[in-house]
Amino acid sequence: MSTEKKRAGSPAWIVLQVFLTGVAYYTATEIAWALCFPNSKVSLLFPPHAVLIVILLLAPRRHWWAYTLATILAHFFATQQAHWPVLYALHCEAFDAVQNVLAAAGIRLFIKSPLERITLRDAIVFVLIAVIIVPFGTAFWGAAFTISNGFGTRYWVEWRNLGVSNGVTAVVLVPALLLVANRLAGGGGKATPARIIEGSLLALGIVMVGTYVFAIVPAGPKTSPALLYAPIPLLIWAALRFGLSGISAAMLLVTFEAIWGAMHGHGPFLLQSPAENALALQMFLIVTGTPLMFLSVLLEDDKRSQKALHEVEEEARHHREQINLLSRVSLLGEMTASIAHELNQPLSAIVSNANAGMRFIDRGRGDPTTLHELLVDVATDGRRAHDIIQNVRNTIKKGYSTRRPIDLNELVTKVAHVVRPDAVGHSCEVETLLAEDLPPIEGDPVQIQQVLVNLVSNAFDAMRETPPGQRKVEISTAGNGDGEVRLSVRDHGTGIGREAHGRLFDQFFTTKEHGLGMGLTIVRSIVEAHGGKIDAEDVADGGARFHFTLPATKKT
Amino acid sequence: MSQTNGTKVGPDSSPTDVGEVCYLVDDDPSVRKSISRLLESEGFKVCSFAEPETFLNHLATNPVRLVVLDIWMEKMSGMELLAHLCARSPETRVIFITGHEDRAAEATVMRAGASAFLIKPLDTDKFFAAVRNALRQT
Repeated sequence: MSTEKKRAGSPAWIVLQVFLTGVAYYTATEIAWALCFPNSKVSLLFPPHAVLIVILLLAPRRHWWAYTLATILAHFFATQQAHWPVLYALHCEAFDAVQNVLAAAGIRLFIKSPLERITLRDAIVFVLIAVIIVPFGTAFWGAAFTISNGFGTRYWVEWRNLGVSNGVTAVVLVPALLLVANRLAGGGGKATPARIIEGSLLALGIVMVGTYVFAIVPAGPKTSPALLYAPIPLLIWAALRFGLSGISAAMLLVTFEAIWGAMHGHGPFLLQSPAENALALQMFLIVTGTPLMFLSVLLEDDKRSQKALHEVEEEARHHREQINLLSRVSLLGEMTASIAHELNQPLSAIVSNANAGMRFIDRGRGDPTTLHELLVDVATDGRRAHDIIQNVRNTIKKGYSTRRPIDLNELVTKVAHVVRPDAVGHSCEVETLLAEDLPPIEGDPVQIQQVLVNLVSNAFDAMRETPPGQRKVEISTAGNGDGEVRLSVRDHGTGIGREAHGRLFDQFFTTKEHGLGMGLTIVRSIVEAHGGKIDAEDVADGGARFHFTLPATKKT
Repeated sequence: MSQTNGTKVGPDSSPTDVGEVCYLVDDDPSVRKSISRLLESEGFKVCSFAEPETFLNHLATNPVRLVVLDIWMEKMSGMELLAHLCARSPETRVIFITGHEDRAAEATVMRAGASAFLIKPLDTDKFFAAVRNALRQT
């Protein structure tokens, strides 16, 4: 990579590129002359212009003078071989150079997107600059010196010929050459075998239709001009399925077939005048190529938007999964005391029953009925312990967040039970104040439970300084009649304080000695992911109140 | 049969004159039943309660030498019940049972006059040693 960069920036490499530009421009000029109709100065297409525009678009601005100079010399060399008058040739060089530099500068100025991300706006700007404004604008000058040098008689015909010829060149050749250069530089994706087959079929179709229309059908008054539009379905296929690259390549193919046909007296051209035939063909190329280019860009833009949307959705899904996992892990941590207590009950019963059974047997009082009853209880408690573990696993296990209607009152009652061991450990009372006729909410029960457990757990911690008799947590639910359900957790602790209030929900902010500062961050993420809001405030007669609202499920 | 949630007022099993009567208050039916069996296997008579209030009602008319209390109960914690016992029946010995080690709670109840503080699952030898020791104190 670094070697390539070094090579790309070295003076010798730049000189070589400049030289190759001259060679390419010379070759393209010869091709352009070969594309002139017999006995006519009208060139259907002028490839050298596309060569210089593309090179200027790819090269750094500080090197433009060198590339432009190389093309001037190359063209001058070609004109002198063709015995053009020197002054006229130099005038041509100046005209071509100004025209191409203007086109490249305009494109660079107004189009900032990389080639892979061209938008419809970019395509319209390209057509305006490179196909309309620059070719037809500079044609005023070009037509004037053509006439003044005796190469034409009618100013507006020359103006039109120059403008259309350079416009067609921009439509047909500039995107195609740019895409080829981009492909050579390693851009673009790898084609799948199916795409290669489809592309080959399309190319074959264009060649076959083109051969029939432009090489078999003879030009003349009996030929229907409608045949000119025979390749259009294939061009639409190229635009729809292969984007800008596809339509550029297809247009290039059709253009060369049509030019060859027109030059050799074939094709759906009614008029016998080369100039009229050329104009018909050029208009066909512009009228067909431009909208199809817009269509392909629009489709690619839409595809990119969909991809971006998909990526955003994917990121949001990933974020939700992380919240889901974090909330479950966090819930596990906060439920440890409760789980240990729940599990310890059946295990204690099993141990005590087993010890009692052994003692009954040892003392000769182990009658089968008593022992049978005892063993039934042992088995029942074993199953109870298993169910508790299973329940914990189901609650905590990593999985997609599942949303369903939740009765918040039911959830509050459950949480009040879950936190009971913790409440006793903190000598706190937990009071629930449940609103009647509370509408259900839609959400992940585990996550909402986590929110509540976390808030209650924080409330216990906030009351360490509160005398034991006054340690009370009130969990209340209320429907605010505005399509929302409100849940509050109020403690009688030290309150939040002004300093902490603004940072309560920030990551890693904690007032606890051993806290990580993640609890309330996760809580807020969960509430917001459910379309709700969370806030906290100090209560006038002491303590704090955390409250969150969630959208109620709409009645159907 | 064990009673739950105070739907039935009175002891699970009536005290008899045969053997010493141990009282037991625990809101978990499985634990209550299994500890009752354990005490019975050692020859004690057991009178068990699911709710502290029911036990306190019983205490009003019956002398109680020894009670085994769960420290975590839904309606009234073992510590609150101990406070009532200290006031109404100071001669009653109390053995606390709990699901996990809690030094602070242990210190509190031992200071308040409890005979022992044991962790569930119960170590049988330690449990009976504590029971006999408590009965000796009465």
